[in-house]
Amino acid sequence: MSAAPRPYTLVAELTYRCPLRCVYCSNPVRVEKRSADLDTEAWCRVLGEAAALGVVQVNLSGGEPLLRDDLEALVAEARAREMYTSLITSGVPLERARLAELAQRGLDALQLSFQDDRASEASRIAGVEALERKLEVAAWVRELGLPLTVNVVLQRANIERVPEFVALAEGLGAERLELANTTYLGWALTNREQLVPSRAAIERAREAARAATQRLRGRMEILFVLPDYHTDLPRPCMGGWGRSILVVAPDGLALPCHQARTIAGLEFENVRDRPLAEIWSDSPGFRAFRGEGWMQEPCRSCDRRAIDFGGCRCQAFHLVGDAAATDPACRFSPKHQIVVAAREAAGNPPVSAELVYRRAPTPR
Amino acid sequence: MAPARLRAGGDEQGAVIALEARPRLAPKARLRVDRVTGKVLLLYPERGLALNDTGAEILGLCNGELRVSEIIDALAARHGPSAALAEEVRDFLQKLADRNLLRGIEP
Repeated sequence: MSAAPRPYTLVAELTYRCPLRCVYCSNPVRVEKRSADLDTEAWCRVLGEAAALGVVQVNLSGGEPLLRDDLEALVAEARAREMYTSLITSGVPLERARLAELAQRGLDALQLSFQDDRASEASRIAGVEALERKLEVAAWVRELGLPLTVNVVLQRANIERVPEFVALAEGLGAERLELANTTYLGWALTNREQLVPSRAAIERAREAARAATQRLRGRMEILFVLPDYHTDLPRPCMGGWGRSILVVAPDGLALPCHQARTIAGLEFENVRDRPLAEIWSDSPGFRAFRGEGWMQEPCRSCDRRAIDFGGCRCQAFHLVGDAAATDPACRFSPKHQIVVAAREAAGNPPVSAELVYRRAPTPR
Repeated sequence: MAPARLRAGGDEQGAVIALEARPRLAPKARLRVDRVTGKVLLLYPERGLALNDTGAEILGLCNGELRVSEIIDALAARHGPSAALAEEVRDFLQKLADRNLLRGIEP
């Protein structure tokens, strides 16, 4: 087992509660057991321990982090530790005065999610009406001088609208636009059949994103990552398991990624019980897929193992049933057919017409 | 996300920062010393760059008053003049400009 590297980023999932019910939400659908959300004091301790461990970026996320009334205190704590602090939000529960207060306490940046630029379609995906409020929030963000990232999760019903999303982000004065192709875990896996776009649509989206990237260089950064269901190569999930990103879930479970707790049989530890530094370096869950010792063939002898780290462990578990298997998104996986079949079905009329809307995870 | 490192080599765009520009860091970006490595980190939304000593030195001079040409002169006075130095400074600053991390560089 290789020595533990240091984490650069802490994803602090402050709560799984959210006013939106997005059908592609990456929160877990079910959790083993759930205890209460960490309190203010516990989160402040976690932020301090994370900073000492080397974390320099904190993403305050969820669920919807604004649903916590101690968010101001947590922002101030993160900033006092010199960490660059971003709020990852739906924007829905925000008031202008509260945003001003957060900025004053040291919030560095805000990432605002958009489901679509058309109100009806945005509501269909989010399960509630939210577009108008988001536009209002984006205006406040710019008025207060905070850098804005616009995030759009791409799926079959909106992937043709990349030019519209670029125009939306430009109009809002965003510094970054994240065009995030859906990853099929959590609620997105539940709804996969209705979300996977066709290969041709992805190609057009990529071309539109590339043209906009060129045109806007130096003004707005555009992120477009090809979805692993269509690349035949896995993504370097989280930059490698337990390598540079640390997630702390609402109930205090420390994880290598948002979904890791859904892998049965892994033992994760809680920040209530053990210092973060020890969990990061020693806990069985973090050590399980760190380095290369855990790899099976074809990963073990593959030239790309240091590039993609074998792909996504959660995807391997949920699609193949073995978290140590090669990610089935990879063309070398013996189970690659699972992903091929899913993407070939894209464009066919969905079998189940009903989308399943997210709710807070339920205990098993 | 581990900080990326600025790589030498051509950029598709090929823009070159003007010698008369008076660059300063954009408000969204912050410099700090990394407590693990002692290196200077440039942090910006959901990203970071680990700077080498030269990069940190260059950014230390980007106060919005010094021109790029003066920054090059100041570094040359410290380390000895060379054509490579001028190119390195402009290349580094242009890469930051491409990431929208500088102000005071508009023509």
